[in-house]
Amino acid sequence: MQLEAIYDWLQNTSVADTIGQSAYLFPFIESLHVLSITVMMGTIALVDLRLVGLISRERPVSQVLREVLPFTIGAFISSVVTGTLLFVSHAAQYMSNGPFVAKMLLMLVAGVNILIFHGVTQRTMQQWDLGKPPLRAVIAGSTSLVLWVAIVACGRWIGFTSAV
Amino acid sequence: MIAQLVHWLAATAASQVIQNVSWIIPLVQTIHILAISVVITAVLLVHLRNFGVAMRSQSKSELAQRFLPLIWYSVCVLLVTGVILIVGEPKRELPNPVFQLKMLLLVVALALTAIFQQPLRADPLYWDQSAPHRAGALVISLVSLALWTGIIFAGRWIAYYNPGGY
Repeated sequence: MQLEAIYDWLQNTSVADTIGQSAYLFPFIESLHVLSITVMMGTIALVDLRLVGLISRERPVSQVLREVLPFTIGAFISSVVTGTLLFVSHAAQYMSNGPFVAKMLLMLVAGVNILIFHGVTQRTMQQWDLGKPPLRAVIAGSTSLVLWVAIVACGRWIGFTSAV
Repeated sequence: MIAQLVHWLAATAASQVIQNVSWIIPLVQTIHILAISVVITAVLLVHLRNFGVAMRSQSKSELAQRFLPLIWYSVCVLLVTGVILIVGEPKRELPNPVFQLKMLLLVVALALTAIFQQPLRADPLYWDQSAPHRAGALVISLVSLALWTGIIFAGRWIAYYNPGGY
């Protein structure tokens, strides 16, 4: 199975072609992408800083999650949709771009971190909803913060790496 | 006048260093983006609370008190990182009308933030006091959200501005 053939096929779809050829569409989608990731980054920071116990300690973790996570999820979906549209327009070039590949891998790791948190750590949340968070919550929050900052950095580095 | 400033800045040692050390601009831009995350999140949550659609466990004044100062701290970071980027690539920014529009939008957005924040010092419930005040808060919120969105779009579009046309 030739991966290059798949990327070429993606780039030649009418959606990808329209975006790639347009002088306005790519920057517009890219700007929506930036808007999405900044909202995502800011809201995830609120959640993570609470998990680590640095902010809003007087408020239950469950309440912070309930109020903030919907925005994080919405912004993430928007980031993925806009990111996919950007990706398909130059699929082959992005797949040969180091920072882009690193960004995708880091997102996978971030996903695993989220799964572990929701599947395991969050189950006992009622016990530590107020007061000092347990080590596994601190690890989940700080790992998430470090990963997402690195993901943003890789995202910026994409444009400095090859002729995309 | 701008051309002279660009010329002068581009000749400084600082400008040379910023351009020649390959990781400076990407790193500074990343910090710039992270600071924007703080601003846009603060703006979004405060103004969505004004519309009554988010963070309802806290009062409007509580949320404003907690998040509005973050805007000013982040603006300091944005100013420092922004100046570094301008010193490094003065021609990319200073004569660029997209950059100039971004700065204009920024000035208006910050003025609106100050206008919203100022009465809260004396009276945390100022914007809740009456129907006209509540309407005023909604208008400020709508315009602020539009302005900050415009600032982010202009920020990205700086790189695409081509004096010769597209």
